[in-house]
Amino acid sequence: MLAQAGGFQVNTQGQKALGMGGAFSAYNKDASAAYYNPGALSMLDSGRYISVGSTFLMPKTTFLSANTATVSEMESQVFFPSYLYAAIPVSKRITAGLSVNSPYGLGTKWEDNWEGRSVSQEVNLKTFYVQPTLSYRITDNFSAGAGLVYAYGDVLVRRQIGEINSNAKLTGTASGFGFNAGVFGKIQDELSFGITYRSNVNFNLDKGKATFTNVPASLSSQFPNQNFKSTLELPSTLSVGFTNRINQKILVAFEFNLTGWSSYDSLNFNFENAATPDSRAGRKYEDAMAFRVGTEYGHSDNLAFRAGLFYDETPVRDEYISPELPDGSRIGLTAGLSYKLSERFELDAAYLFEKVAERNAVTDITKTNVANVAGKYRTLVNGVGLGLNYKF
Amino acid sequence: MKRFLYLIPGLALSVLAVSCQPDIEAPDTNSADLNLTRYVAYGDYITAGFMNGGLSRESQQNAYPAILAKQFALFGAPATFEQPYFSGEGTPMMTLASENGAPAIRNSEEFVKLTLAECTGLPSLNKPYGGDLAKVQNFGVPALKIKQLKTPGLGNSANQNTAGFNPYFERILPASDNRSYLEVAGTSNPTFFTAWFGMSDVISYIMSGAACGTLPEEAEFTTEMNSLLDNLTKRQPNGKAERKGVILNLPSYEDFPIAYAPDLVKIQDDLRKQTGNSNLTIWVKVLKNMNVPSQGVDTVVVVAKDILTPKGRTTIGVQGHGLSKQHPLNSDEVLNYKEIQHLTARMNRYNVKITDIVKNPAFANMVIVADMKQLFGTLRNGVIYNGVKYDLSPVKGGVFSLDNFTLTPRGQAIVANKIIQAMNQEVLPKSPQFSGFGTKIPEVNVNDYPAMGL
Repeated sequence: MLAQAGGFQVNTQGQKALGMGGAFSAYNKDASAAYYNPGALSMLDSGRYISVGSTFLMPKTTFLSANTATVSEMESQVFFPSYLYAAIPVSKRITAGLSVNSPYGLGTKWEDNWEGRSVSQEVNLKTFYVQPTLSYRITDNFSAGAGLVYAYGDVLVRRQIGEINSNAKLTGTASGFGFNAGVFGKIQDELSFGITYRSNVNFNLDKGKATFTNVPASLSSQFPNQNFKSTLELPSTLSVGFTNRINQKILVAFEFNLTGWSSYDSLNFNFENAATPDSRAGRKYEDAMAFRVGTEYGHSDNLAFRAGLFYDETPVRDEYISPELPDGSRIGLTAGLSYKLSERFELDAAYLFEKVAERNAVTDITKTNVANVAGKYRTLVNGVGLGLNYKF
Repeated sequence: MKRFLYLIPGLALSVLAVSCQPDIEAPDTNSADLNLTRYVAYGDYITAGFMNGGLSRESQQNAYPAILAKQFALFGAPATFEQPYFSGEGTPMMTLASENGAPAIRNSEEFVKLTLAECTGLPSLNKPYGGDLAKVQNFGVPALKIKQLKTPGLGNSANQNTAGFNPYFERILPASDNRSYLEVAGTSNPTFFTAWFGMSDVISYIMSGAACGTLPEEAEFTTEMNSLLDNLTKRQPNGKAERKGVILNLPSYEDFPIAYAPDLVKIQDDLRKQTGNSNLTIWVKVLKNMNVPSQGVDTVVVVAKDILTPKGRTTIGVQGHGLSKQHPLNSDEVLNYKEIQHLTARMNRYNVKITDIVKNPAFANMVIVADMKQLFGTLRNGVIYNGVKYDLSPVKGGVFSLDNFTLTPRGQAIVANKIIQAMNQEVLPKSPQFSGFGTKIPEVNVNDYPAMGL
């Protein structure tokens, strides 16, 4: 499961933020503010910033079937959601920024012949968000910023049509627009706060490609290769955080997120050919909250250590737990550090461990519109991130 | 310091590489106190693995007893399940072809003959099993009727082409063996068994339009089942059963796809449209009294639910046959609504009798019921299993094979799972009709079995 946070959110968008459990909307240390809080961008120390980085995520999921008592392991995959941020002051009060990252993603892959193959064999969703941003320092203590998001998505869905032992593969790309806005304020030098709102993004997939293989000749007219339509709305997120500098060396950050997953009600694929049965799957996600706390310890001018903790609630209800995304509420522990290699270069590193609550999928064989497989899922996620910051 | 920093990503990556799979506690499975060292299955068509109107080595391998045996092997039962396999080709099977874009079923003649064997008699298959009878674990005999359980010579080729001969029983037995089915079953020494009888009687009744043998009376059914179970459970002189087993009851008439074939009223409407004769009427002979055939027949106009038998499908309309009161359809050409009512009533009573048998203190908690009536009733409305839909519609439903009475491999697996579910119920000393054996045997994945070749 690539999804590293609730639903198919990915919150590894900056190594400093990751080291602090993701509590970063009220902190500004580098160009990742373009994503975490566009308002904070204009509060960076003078200079131009560029940050790049990548997080290697290795999730592991095990499934125990309630019917056959067999254990299936999700195929191991390594994901590396990456980012690029830039912050360039254009005037005394205005800073321009750019954020390029993948805040949503999903990758679940089961063995082609596993027990739930007619529910899901593989889902792969990648997104890329490009967000040019402007941030304005209104006073020395208060700033606001906003960016326009252009989002691009790429999806792959594979499953077996078990009735006739045929295979369906759906692929497509789509794009959409959204925005990201935030305000940032300081109360004296010790306390700062941030509020960020990232809007939902609607993807309209008009020309997806459906490929059917191994279709029996007598049914080939029902399952020709064809186009399909689908829509997917990725949710909005509201973040509220504050940061308290306890002393010269130690800082503590808190954050609350509310992700509007309830917009994700169902996932439907409408096939162009009227003879091909459309696919409709209820999702009925619920809005989900996350709580984050992080700390940073400035060991020296060159070296800082970080640690964080978060609880990320799942948007997936019990009756909709499925092998496409056997999501559960998560507890995460993070650690990180930054080391200044020179005046200009700074290296960030972070480590993440997540334990996803065990989920139990229950099926009712008489509800023929719900395709699922009954059993328990357990998931662990490990991640290591590296980032490089350049200031000039 | 720098060296230390280079170490960090390396260390972290190696942690990732070895990070172990989340463990999930081993599921608790067990076979309770059952002795599964020699599981033997008794029954008729479906038990034998008969499907698409025939029997072959491949279809035998997908019979529910073979599927069950595979699960029992998880608990110490032998890995091989001995069946009277065909060494070469089996008996002819129906095939699905496309005719003008519509699916058409071919080669159904042999199956029709088999269902009418009690009337017409059948020759030997000349495909003897030849293996060691003492090792056989599947005594499913297609077309074996309840009243034939004690018939001597049923498997003796000297009796071929008579009502008292079953070619599928004959191929299992050594040459010139005169023993009845019950005598053979009595020497098969199971430690655990399943029994499913009555399906042959029902199938023959429907296919012949109630014109080939009668359904057993309730008392006869009870007597035969009791004799069988006395034998299989090795009932002791003190009246107590010694071996455990499962008895399967019967589904309903409405569970067979044949119940949804166009009825004669629909056929009459179609004929009226085709001929432009709105007065065209189909007549059929119906017994005055279902329970007393000697009272003779009435000739009546067809009504809803009356369906044609395979024979009727070939004779209707030929030289006006069936289209006037003077030339009505004969009894063996129609399964009429009265016969359906009679069949339904009998099937219900058989199921009541099966419940009574397992409530009998002699068999209570030793023989349990796997409720096929409930299972097929659920299947009728459609089910979904791991994302794959099943229902009882012909061909596409995935449960019934092309002959519309016996099951596909996946249908067999669904029955096997139902038996496992029945066994996994807890032991209920006070209500033995709902009791299980308290086992925790895993089910099979129905979708792993071959799909109907469309």
